[in-house]
Amino acid sequence: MTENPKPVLSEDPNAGLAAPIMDLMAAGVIAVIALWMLAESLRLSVPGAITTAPGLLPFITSASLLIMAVILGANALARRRVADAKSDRIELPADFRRTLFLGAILVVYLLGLQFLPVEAAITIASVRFVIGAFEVTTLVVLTAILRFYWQAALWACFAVTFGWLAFLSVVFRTVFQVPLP
Amino acid sequence: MIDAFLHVLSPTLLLVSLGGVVLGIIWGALPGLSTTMAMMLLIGLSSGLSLDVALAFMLGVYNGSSFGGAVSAVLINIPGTPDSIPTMLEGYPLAKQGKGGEALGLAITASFLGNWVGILLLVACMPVILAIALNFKSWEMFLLAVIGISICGTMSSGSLPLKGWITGWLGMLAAFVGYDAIHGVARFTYDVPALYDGISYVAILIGMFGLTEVMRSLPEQGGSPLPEKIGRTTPSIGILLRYMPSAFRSGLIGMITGAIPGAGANIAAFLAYDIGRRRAKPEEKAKWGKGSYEGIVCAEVANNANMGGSILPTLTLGIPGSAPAAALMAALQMKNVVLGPTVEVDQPGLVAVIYALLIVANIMTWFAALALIKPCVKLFMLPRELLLTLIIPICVIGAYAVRNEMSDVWVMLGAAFIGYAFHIFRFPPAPVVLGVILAPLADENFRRALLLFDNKGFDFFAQQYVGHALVLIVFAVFIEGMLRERRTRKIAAEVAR
Repeated sequence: MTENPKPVLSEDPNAGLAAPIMDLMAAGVIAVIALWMLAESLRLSVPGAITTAPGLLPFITSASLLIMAVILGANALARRRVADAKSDRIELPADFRRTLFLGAILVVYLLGLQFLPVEAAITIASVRFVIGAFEVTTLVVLTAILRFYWQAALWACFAVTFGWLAFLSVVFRTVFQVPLP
Repeated sequence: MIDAFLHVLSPTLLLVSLGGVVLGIIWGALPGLSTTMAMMLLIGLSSGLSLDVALAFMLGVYNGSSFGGAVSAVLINIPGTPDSIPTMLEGYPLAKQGKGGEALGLAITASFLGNWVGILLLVACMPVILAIALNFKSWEMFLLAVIGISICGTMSSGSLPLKGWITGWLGMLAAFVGYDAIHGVARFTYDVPALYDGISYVAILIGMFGLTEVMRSLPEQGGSPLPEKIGRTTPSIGILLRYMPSAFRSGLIGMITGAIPGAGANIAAFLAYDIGRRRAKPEEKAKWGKGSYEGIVCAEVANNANMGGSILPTLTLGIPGSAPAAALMAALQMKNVVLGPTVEVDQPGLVAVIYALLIVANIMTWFAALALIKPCVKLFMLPRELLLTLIIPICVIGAYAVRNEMSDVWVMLGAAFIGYAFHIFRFPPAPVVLGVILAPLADENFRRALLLFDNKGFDFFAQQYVGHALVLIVFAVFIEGMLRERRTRKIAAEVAR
């Protein structure tokens, strides 16, 4: 007789059991991180007593994380034994490829911000406006993202990006004096 | 307190608070944009503001977006924020009956009442908690940090606390990077200068709660439906008076859940809704699920009272009660404001200013919400893809503005990828917040406590009664979590068979 599953209140409804193979993969990655941090915390120097060693809490944290990873992995293995092939496969969101593409664009965006050597200034009505890598890269990348995901006309994507960028640039660079990349 | 009110009633702070409230309501009303996301983005952006202005703006946004989720929940059957799902269950059927305006009016007034319950209980409980907390020394502070992270893990991950604890522990490990506070030894820096000051937790929070949400929601296809006729938005005080006992019970539930780290507005709203349905009179019970005013009152009062509750441990113990409260704490830390038992001594007047700002924001939310319902409806016509794309440069600015370092922007992107992986592998991201924020506190106090216990003998250790009680709580949290987890696995195994 199956016990009637009583829903448990959770702040994050998505959190919970994944497919056993996915939990096993996650346990593996977490165990590697824990082992790495465990080894690194042992390598840290101990200037005073062992009780005040800089690596003490990182060591305890890594060790307990390793135990948690082992429990997660062991439970995933136990679930794999009874799970059928259909419920034990990697589940990816339906739009995963579109997300990967977005991730790639974001990497390109940050590379542009980091390496594009742009620095110019224009003065309109005695107010100095700075144009840097942020303005140039954001204009190009945001227009591209809008064109791909919003699918509006290119001029509309460009106009929206330009207006938003001008607003952000003026508010942060000129009004709040916050430096931008 | 009067001084604080006079200070807050200055035109600048009133205007900033109103701006925050308006932005918060609009933000909360737009599906896919959560309160947590708004607060995380504001951490970096508040770096250019003075302390008072930053507080007024953030508390305004927090207040406004706590209500804003109800607008889309009632009108288009899509919860603007996750805590407005119970409101949606009751509000949308009412909207279909042509009573959408009435339902929203009731939600506004219930939110207003919920905030008052939260604020009053906050004011009443603060001196008591502070008096207790002032007796906490290093050992107790360390244990409190551990309790905060582990309870957050339990509450975030519901049926599977292990996953919540794992993400909390990963957050702690990330916070250990950089020079340690006692000996000045560089930990896990690998001679990379950008790591000497540690990993910016603001960048982690913006990445994990801002950019991850963009990565999750932007590629999804499909838009929001447009609402039907709303009808007149009336404040519905008469209906609220009819459900006063339910409102006060829900306010108390919201406040208590808010004070528990990790248990935020979502749990508050669902718990109050569930208890409300069980305790409803038979004639009222028949309406639940088909458009119950009492259901809206329970959910809205609870998720708004939750705000006062989550601010209580944040101010008194330095342990955030929820992810938005953690963002508030992070913004204050950037201004060298350390929250905890000595907050009244270190920052005289700050707590009173926070009370005053909460009250002002609450009153403004009531008026602004009534005025903004119809313009908000027009915003539903804006494509979600457009809105989410425009958030990307705000994430970049927020991460960069803290230390003017591009490395922080890369950390934010890395955190966004990890946050997305958490989503796929069904790990909760909220405990990471507690982990990165509380790890330095735990580390410093743990070693200080061990130094204090050194050579003092067993008698000294045995006399740490508060500490022992806290150790018992730590054990209780883990044992309860493990039992819950065992139950979940057993059920999953039986279902698989």
